[in-house]
Amino acid sequence: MVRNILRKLLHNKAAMSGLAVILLLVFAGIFAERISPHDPYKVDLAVKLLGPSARYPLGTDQLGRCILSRLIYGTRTSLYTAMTVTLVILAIGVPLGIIAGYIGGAVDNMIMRLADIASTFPSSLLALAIVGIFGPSLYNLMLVFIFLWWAPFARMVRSSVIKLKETEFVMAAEAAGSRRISIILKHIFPNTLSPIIAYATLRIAAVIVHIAGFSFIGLGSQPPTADWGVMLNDGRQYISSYPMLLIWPGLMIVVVVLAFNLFGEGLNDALIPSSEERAIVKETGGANV
Amino acid sequence: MSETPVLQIRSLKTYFYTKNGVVKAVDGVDLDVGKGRITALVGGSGSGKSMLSMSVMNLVEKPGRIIDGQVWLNGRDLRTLSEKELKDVRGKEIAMIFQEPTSAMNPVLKVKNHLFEAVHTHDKKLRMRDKLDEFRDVLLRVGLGNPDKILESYPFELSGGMCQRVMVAMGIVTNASVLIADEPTSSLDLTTQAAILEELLRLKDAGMAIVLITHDLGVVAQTADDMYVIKDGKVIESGPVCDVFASPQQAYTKFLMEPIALLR
Repeated sequence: MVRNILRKLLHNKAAMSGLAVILLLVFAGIFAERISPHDPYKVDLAVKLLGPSARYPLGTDQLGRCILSRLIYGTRTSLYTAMTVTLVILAIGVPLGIIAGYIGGAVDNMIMRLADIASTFPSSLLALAIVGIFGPSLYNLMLVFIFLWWAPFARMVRSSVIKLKETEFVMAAEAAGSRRISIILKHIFPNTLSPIIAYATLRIAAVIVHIAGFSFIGLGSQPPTADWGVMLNDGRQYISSYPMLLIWPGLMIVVVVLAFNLFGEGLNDALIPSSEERAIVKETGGANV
Repeated sequence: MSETPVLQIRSLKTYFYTKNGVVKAVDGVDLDVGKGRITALVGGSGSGKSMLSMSVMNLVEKPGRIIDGQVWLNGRDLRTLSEKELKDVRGKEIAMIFQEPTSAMNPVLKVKNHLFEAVHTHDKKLRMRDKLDEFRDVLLRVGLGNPDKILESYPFELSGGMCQRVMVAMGIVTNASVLIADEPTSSLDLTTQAAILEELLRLKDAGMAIVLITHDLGVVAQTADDMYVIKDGKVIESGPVCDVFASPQQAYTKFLMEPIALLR
């Protein structure tokens, strides 16, 4: 089965190019110190606002910092936050979904009402509130998305668990005397994985866009952090004179989001055989800002 | 039957409480299943045969409820056992072969994992590699050639009939004292059907008590020792197969036998 999925995925050119870009960026993020030509935080007003040159491949910003180095370090910030947030929301949403779907009744009701609250609460409002109370920082912003975005995962998992609970193979496992926990781990959880994996990949892209957006308006990463959102904000006042200050970080965001979306869609196609379920992930999964 | 039956069911009642009233799926059934005998439950669809077997396992789901009766297995009334004790009975003392071969297998587990789980659930010390030879042997016995390949296959790579045979193999490896087989031959061609039935007869000779749920009277005639005709949750006729076939008392039994009579 794994072989079939891999084969399908390998033949999907869009997904593979997305994966290539993701791997390249992950590599860049991990080895940022090695591959950056300069220190991304070193201010040198003597070389401010330079165009591309051999020394500064993408030029420098208003404080004379190397744009390429800042972009590379920004990759680290972006991917690290997006992946952490996604892993944490998976760790919260998946077990809650399994509990809600498997146990049902009042427990289900409670978890699902919490999910309703989480998914209807506007993220910008919560971000403003949290930033207002605890001050602006990337970690506070990550908390906002963790609080709100576990809900669609819980809901997806719950609905597959409810479907799976009624299947004959779960009944057969019960008739074979399997313990509850082993039914959940062996029979239910693995069968919920495919849509979750595809959806999580798409969610990473959404987190990147949102974090960059909030950093841009000053609610997330703070200057002088090398973050794409912060870079966009810094370059705002130079939009007419030095547009490249905005174009580079903007381009990075577009590229990384596109890469995750392409790869996520590819995973989606490979992992979920029925087009009906696929549509559900596609409708709700994209990086809609 | 001189020996005490392995499985004795007394006035078992399973009702479903729906919005449109009470559905009596099992309505006061008495049943004896003897060691080393094949007991056939016969009836049309919706007659409550499958619900009866779920009730024996105490796996009736809401809105259904077992409201009365006893299920004696090897001298213990299963209805008085706790859920924890029941888990030790299910799959170890009573094994069950499910009706729908393709949906009764977990799509993410290979055949060998299915077979292994059937035994590992009740003996955590078992190792897969110690059981593989036995699994191969059982698969061959249920008519699956090339068992090495089958063991490594996922259910969706097999046909419905092959899955059904794997299900039978899963019932066999448990080595339970009672095997409930719900339509074990429904999607098989005649040759394979014969192989499965032969295997059931072999298990019976080895001392297993087999409950064969079917609507195929031909299968009953070939294999079963005793038969129970079930209609609307009630046993309307029972006895040794040859007696029932020779002189069916009830109109419904005659009606079920009509197609066979026509062939004669």
